[in-house]
Amino acid sequence: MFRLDGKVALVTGCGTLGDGWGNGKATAAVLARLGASVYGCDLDIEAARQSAEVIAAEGGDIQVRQADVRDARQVAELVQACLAAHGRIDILVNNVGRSEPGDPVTMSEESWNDQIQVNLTSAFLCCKHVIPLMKAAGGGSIINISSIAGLRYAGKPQVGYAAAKAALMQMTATTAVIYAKDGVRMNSVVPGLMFTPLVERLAQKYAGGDYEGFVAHRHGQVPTGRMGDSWDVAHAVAFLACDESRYITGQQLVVDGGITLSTP
Amino acid sequence: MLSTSKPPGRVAGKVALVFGAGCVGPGWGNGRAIAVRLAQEGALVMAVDRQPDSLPETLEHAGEFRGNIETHICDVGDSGQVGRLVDTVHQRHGRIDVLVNNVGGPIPGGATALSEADWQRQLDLNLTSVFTTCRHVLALMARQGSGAVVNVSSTSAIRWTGAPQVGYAAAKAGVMQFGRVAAVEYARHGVRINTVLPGQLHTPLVDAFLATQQAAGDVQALLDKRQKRIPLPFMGDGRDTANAVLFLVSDEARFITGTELIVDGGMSARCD
Repeated sequence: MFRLDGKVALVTGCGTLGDGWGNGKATAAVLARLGASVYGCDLDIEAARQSAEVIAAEGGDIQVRQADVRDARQVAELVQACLAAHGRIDILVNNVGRSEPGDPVTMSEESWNDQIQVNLTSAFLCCKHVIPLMKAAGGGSIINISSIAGLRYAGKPQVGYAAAKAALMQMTATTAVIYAKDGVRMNSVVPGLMFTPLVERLAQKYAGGDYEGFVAHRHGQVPTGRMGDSWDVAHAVAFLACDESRYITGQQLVVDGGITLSTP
Repeated sequence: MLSTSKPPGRVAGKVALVFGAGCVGPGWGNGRAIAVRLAQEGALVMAVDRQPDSLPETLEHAGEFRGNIETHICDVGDSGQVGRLVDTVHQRHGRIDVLVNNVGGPIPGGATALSEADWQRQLDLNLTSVFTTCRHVLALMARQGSGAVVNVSSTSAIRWTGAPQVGYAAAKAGVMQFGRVAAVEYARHGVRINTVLPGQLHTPLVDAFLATQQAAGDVQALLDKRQKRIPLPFMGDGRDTANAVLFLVSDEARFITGTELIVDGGMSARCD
């Protein structure tokens, strides 16, 4: 039960530099622990290699390559490379994403377009190339990593990110209905405030580099009193990837310690 | 972290209280499947039902794991009975880690057709039952500093699902919002509360009641009508509800609280 033996998982954005565990790295690790063969990619190939090294060292089956999933040609090549290695794709995790600050007044058009590209178009392109394979094989499970920023104002101006993540959830739900008859399931995992290696970069962008203050503030925002971490995202992804969730499609699984429930 | 070895199970050693663990007929009802699934994954399950004759089949379905199940008779409509049961379980096992509220069922009728008495019965059965068990269990979980509650609602809480059952719909929506606000209140005590919304599953309820209520007793006609609304090409059963409950009460879901997991084959994502 809750096993993924014999399944092939394509995970985008699987790289984390150093010892930390980003969402993509933790997801790749958990899927591999459950028996899946993982094919990962990252814009930063060195980060992807470091993730792969750690996962392989604990016995996981993982290969990685460099890919910019904003680029249609590179996505096509990525999918072909995964097929060449494993002959099939059963699970796709669209984990690539990044938040840039700003609202319609303060953001450049360029930054807005970039936010849509990196957070939404990347998943669209991967779906475009992977869904036909899953359909032909009789099914599959796609998990898109969204954000509570797509559901609420979450404390900082990031309208491009918020709009793209909301769109990602609705792309997921509607595509899920369209491909359900083909056995392809699609769901979103919606993380809240997570204590990941990314938090350090966010502290630079949003809190003038006050890392400790930023972390304490984020812990305090969550009803549980603590942020979650990448393992929480990874476990939610794993559940939605497994056959035990065979009747769940078109949905959002919010992993946020309850933060979106209150209007304090 | 997810265990990669099979034993001892994903909820090993947890004491679980499952209300509505019998079934209205033979087969995989939600409560029966939940009790069996938790037992298979190593929990010590208190399978509770009002109907004593409904529980032996739950034990049968548990097979080699039946030793992980204790059966108890209790009417969740009676707060005194619930309180005594909770005390008994707590004294015997020292803790309660998991509470699953699966008691419920629809009475047909729209906003004018449903009698006032039936409206009240629907609220009592589907909503007050959840309040009552939580009243007795949440404080205890807060003292432990941990616990996981899953309430079983329905897609009827969020959509018109093909037949008027306004008391059921309102009560099940109430279950969802009860879970959300209680989740925020108890988050700091380490207690998580979530809701599973099963869609139109093929459970024994369909054969025992719904076919009569909605399709003049023609089970296949009702199943066909229901399947048309479901994007996935099959109908789930109680085991799908049970797997969702299992995930939410496991430690892998430690950061998931106050939310809903909809298990409906994509039905609620469409309105065409």
